[in-house]
Amino acid sequence: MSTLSLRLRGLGTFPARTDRSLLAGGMIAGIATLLAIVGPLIAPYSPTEAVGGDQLLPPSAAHVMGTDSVGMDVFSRVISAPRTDLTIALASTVLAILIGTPLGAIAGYYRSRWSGLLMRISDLVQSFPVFILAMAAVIVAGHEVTSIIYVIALVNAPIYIRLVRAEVLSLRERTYVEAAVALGESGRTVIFRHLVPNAYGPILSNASVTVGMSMLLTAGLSFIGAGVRVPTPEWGSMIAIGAPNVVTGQWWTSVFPGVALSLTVFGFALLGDTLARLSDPTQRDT
Amino acid sequence: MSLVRRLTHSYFVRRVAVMIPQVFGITLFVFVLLRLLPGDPAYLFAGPTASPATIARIRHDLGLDQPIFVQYLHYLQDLLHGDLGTSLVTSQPVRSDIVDRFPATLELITVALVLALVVGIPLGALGARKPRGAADHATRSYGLLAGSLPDFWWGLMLVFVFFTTLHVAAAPTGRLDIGLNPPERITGFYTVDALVTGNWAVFSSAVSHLILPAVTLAFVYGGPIVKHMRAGMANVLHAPYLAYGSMCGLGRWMLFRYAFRNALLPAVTMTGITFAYLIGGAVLVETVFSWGGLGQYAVQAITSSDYLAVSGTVLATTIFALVVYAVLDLVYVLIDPRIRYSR
Repeated sequence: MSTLSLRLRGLGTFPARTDRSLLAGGMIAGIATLLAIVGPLIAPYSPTEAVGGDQLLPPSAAHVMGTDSVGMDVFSRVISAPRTDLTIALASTVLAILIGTPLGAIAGYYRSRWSGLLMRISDLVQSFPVFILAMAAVIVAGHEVTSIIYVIALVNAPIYIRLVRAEVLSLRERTYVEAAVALGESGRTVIFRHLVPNAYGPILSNASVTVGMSMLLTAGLSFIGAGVRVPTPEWGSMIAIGAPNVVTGQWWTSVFPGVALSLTVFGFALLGDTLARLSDPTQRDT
Repeated sequence: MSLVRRLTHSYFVRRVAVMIPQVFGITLFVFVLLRLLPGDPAYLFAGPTASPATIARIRHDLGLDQPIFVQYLHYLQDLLHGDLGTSLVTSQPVRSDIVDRFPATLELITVALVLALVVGIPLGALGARKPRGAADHATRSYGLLAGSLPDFWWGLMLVFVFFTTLHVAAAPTGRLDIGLNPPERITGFYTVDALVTGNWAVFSSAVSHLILPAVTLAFVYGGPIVKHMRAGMANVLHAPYLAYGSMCGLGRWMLFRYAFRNALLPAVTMTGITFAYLIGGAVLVETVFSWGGLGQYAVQAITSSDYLAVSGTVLATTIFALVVYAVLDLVYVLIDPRIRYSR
């Protein structure tokens, strides 16, 4: 192992000689994050202002990605959308981890009747049709960005309950845990000081995938009108308002937001996939 | 004989028994959801011009003035009689609405998954043949890419390319050309019904309308199938029993057959899960193609606060998913004789 090695707790040691897919995934995720911060500031036009008379202009020097059916600049909206999409995706993923990690750790550490019940409940949540459930829940909770975050977090939490429980089930048999218990440490200390920090490799690599999936869910909800509302720049709702135009030939209204969305989700998926591969010694390159 | 015994011996019974508390859990969940949906149902039933007295009477008639657990018992009682209530939008019983639309969705996702399997299984097996080879790389990239595509957008793109630009595909206007009558209902699958009744015009129209949405779903949701087939095959190819078989001089075809059957399990699991997911998850693609299936019914019900239709759809799709999971567990026994669930 070279001296140039990056140590990430829980991910093991892997060569800092950058893996190409790690670089690509990281770059896409980085650009999306950057745009979430500065996107609306560097947009050439207002991302929410419709200009009368500028409807459905094809891509040109003035409007790089054309304009949509009400005359809003597609490019400005595409680069402003991460602020909505990425914020929802990141916040709901963090929330899902915050809900799932303690529950999963407790269910894995104390194998009681209650942890069995918890697993059955999370099975139940997972067996619901995610999309219809999310749709109904957003209608109940209202179209606010915060309620979309809560709903997506709730839908994703069982993944982390299951993931952390599986990790803890194996970690709890380790000698260091036995040592901690022998030293008289409380169950809470063992779980949160020793087990959870060692379980976060898989959590981290899965989080990246969840961010992508949450973005798809957000866009899907907005697409059928149960999510973010026009004129807030958001990729799913942009695809939706452009859909009738695409069928009649004005492709640019939906193509660009769709490409941006797919690329961003792909970037996060690639990042997660690569992190998972690097943290698994049986799959790592030699 | 042994197979029959294995299936019926305790596990089958236990597996079905597990579903009973699950279904109760679902009814409770759906009932709570129903009560949380915005809009007073009595008010919605009565219409905007009703007097407070009328609304109170309707509330009484619907049992909404009773304690919540009594309401739940009434709800369960209706369910046991197969009564899901009446839709506010279509004025039809929700059960018959669901029964009408269910085959549309089922036909679409069945064709989509058959497509995904027919292409995905050989592709995944091919990818595993040479790790880090070109085929491996291609299948791995496809898996990641397909999973990143928003299905509704991909459907829209296919419509743009094959309908708008190339004029080779049918318009995204539902299951048949406008002006054609659906075939006589036997299974509810238009392709099957048209074939059985020998109605060729309807058959070809139904097939041409199925292609784009089915390809959309197959492309987007085939990713995990390919991925798991590849992983399953890659695992099996290193197994000592294959090396042993090869040393014993078994032919390549024979070795492939041994490996294939053992590698199939993860891919079959994935297909089952996807199938269960798509019953409620094809919503967006159905919307793009105006498919008129269960998903679109759900969207319509939710956006118009048609609370009985919403709860009925959630109930139907979830129970369907549970049935698929149970069937999946039983299929394992057929594929892999080593799996025995009995103690």
